[in-house]
Amino acid sequence: MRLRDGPARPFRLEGGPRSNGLQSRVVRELMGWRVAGPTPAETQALARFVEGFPTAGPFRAVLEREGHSHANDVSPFAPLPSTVLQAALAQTGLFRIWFWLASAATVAAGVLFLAVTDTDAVSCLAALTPLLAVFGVAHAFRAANTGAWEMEMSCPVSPVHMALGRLVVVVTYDILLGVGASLAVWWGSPPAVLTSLIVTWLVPLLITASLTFHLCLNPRLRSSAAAGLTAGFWAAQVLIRKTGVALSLFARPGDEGWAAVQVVSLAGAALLLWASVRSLSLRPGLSPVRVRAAGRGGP
Amino acid sequence: MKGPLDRPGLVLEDLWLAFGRKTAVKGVTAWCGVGVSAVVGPNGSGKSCLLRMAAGIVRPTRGRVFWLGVDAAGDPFFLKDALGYLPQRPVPYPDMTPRQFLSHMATLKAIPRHLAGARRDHLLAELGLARVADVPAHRLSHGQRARLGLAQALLNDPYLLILDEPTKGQAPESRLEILALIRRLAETRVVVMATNELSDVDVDRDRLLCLEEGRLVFQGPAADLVDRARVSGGARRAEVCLAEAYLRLRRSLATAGKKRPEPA
Repeated sequence: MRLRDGPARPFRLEGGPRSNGLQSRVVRELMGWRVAGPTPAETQALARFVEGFPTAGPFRAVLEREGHSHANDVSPFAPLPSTVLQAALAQTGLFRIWFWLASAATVAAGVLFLAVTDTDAVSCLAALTPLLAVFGVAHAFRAANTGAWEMEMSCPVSPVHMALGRLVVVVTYDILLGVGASLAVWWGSPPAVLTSLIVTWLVPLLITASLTFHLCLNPRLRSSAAAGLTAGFWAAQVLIRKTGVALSLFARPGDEGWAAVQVVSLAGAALLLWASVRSLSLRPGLSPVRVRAAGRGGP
Repeated sequence: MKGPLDRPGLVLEDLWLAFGRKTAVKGVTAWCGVGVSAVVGPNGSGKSCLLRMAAGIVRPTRGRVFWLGVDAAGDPFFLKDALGYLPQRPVPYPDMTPRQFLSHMATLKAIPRHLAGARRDHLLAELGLARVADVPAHRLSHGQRARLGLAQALLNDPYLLILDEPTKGQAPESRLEILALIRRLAETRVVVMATNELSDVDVDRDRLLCLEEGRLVFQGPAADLVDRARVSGGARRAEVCLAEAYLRLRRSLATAGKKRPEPA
């Protein structure tokens, strides 16, 4: 009876069938409608198909009894930020202890150096903090395009989410360290407004992290080469600024065109990130991004 | 070949893979059911490319992969959730120990933490890696790395195992142990295994997929290939081994000249 009531229920709620003869005829038709059942031959064919299925091993049976399936937990079509965050948290074990310690020690040493010398704190932070991101991202992707990467790609995780998750770990950690260093420097002797101090190193950090990320995903480059190229690029930016040329992504608050440099850098970082995600999605591999229609681009 | 819903297991439907002007796999249509399906062929015949496409690591230029009737392009996670994959070069992170690497892979395979530890230790023991469980991977031998690759493939106790040369670089004793493990797993699971060693193939039980220059030139029980060679050579079955049958198949293809071999 429930099945028969199903299609008619919305009409009853709206009171439609009572007021309209045509609607009530349609509802009568729907109420009398039956789905054709499978024929015995079709049932047998389905039974044969299912009989040939592989069966679960003892550990798999335990996994399934626990109701744990990756596909149920992390849908590839789930909202991106939560899935990326989940992927980031799941991959923190990938980072060796020396990554956490070396990054923190570098920042601590820098702050100590600035405290005991007359070096310009803003320039120093802006020039050196991006290098933390460069080597952090290279560490996160040290096995990109190798056998380990291939094994990871066979796991039920979207390659896009996996890669973005690693980037998030590095950038978040470096930002936390950078903010800590900025507070320490600013607390000691306020050289500038705190927000401009943070922006001065944060934007270069974002662009160098995005560039290293993009290069690491290139199948022709090793992560060490990607780090070297980005570090070289950033060193060139610093040197260009030192020679007085305005066309550099390295700028201090108060320099001519400082705000424009930050905007251009942010746009560049966003563009690089977008290009990286796009290249990962389009790269051969069954990522959640839909595959091109079969036949197009075929031999 | 029937449709994907008539064949329980892994169905490869008209798979092509092209890199620029080079076409590595040319229209392979095949089926792999419960048991071992051995993919054989000379170097560069497209075995690894075919396995990568079957595992959902490389997207085919054309064609489709079905797992239990579900198109892997539409729902890759259905395939990957059931999959254990061993690449040709299973090089783990050099700075990670086997224990750490397996823990990392268990996280990616979403195995709950309270189950992952015991499973990891069980596999380390079963594959003879318990003694080197805390040694960085860069200090492991080639055979140990391959066994570590196999351990990560088995972490989620998969329904479908795709193994690219699992016995490569193994010592004879270890090779026999791995083959015994694969045979045991294949009793209830679908195992697709690329190999250059015909001695890895069990003539009486395994299916064979022979590739030649990216094309599938034979598909069926290994015993059928031997029978075919026996009939054409007028010899008794005991006198024709799989290696000889395979060589005859290749010779017949070579004598057919540049003619395009038809897929089985």
